[in-house]
Amino acid sequence: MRAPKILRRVLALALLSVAGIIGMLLVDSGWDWAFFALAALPLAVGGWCYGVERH
Amino acid sequence: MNTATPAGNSGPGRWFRFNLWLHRWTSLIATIPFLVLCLTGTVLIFHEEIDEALGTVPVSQHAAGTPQRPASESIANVLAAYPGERVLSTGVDPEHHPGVMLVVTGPRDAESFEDAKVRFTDLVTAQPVGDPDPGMTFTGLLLELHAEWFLGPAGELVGALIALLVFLSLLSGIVVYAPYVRRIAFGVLRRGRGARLLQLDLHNFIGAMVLGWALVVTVTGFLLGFNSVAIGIWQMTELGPLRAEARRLEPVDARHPPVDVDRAYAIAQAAAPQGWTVSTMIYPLTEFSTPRHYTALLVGSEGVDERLFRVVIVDAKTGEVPIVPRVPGYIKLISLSQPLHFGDYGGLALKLLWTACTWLTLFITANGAWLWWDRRRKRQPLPDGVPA
Repeated sequence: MRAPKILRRVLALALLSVAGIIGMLLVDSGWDWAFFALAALPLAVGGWCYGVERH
Repeated sequence: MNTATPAGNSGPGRWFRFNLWLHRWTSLIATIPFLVLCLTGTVLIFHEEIDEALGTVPVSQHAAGTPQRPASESIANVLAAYPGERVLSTGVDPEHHPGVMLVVTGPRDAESFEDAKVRFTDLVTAQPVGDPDPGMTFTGLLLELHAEWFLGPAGELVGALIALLVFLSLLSGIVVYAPYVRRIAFGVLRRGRGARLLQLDLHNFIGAMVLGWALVVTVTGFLLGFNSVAIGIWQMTELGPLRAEARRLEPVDARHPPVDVDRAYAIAQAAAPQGWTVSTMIYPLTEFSTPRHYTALLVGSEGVDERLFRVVIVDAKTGEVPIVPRVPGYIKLISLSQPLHFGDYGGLALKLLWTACTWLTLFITANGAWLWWDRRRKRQPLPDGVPA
């Protein structure tokens, strides 16, 4: 993958995480898990990439 | 984020070198205080659970729905138990402290909350419960260190400065990270090629993962650093005119106002917008009220309103509501910053996410400092006679 694309994805993940963290506070409980998933997305993607790299 | 060898055929540009310098020094200056913030922050994420386990806040032994005694009876019992004190405010928090009333007291002539103590009464019996001489709690002590560095309101500004340094470190880290990803894919850790490369990869990889969370926590930490300043401005701009007006009126006995606290609650509740409940009643003659008026704080019942508050002023002599002051945007922003900073609004799952991100950030703060120290050590010339 080309570098600008990776950087854009890293920044997009960070922004999605910010949206998830703020969304969870602002929006009522029905969407909590969706927003939590967004907030935790960078860790999940990082963990997945790390797993792929290890194998 | 860090890089050892910036990419580019003609060497690093000025913009890159400036950001590398900014990233290095903002991070290094903030390292020690930030480590303290991460450690205390981790404990404070679980402050509710810790307070409960340590029995900091007494719990009512009566079942929910048992008829409750009037609040004024609780106040009278507290004043009888502590005759040298006055009540500064009362409050209820059914979600976190069900069945008990929080009565904040201070020395008889106190107007400030600085030397305040929190007493508790059982809402069913109106009798004082819990530790009769509560000192600083464990989480209270950590919060004072985390938020104020034991320096009072001035310490909040120190916290804001640290947050600003970390924020600059994050932004410059993104710039420094850009050339790094041209060579090293996201998630790749170069093992077996020396400790420095592995630590560098870990620093960049983990930094990229926690970037969004760290931006939220540093921006909200910066805003929270201006909490006392914002309240001071609010006191001057919103409460100031009312205080000037109150000075022309006859003051009330702040220990025993003519309109008792139960009536003040009822009056404030009647003036409250739908969905808002009186949570705290600040007595007359304090830094947040006038010599003549109660200040009632209201909280919303759902959504984001639960994190905000509104204010109703109640005349402690006539029972009139002279004004419902507006809560300015900057106070709302700071109010919303608190949950976003501590991550205590989304249950255990969010607290665990906050803990994971805090520890990962703690790690990259320490390993970033190690990367700087290691590079500096290798640059220093070896003494004569020592093999390289």
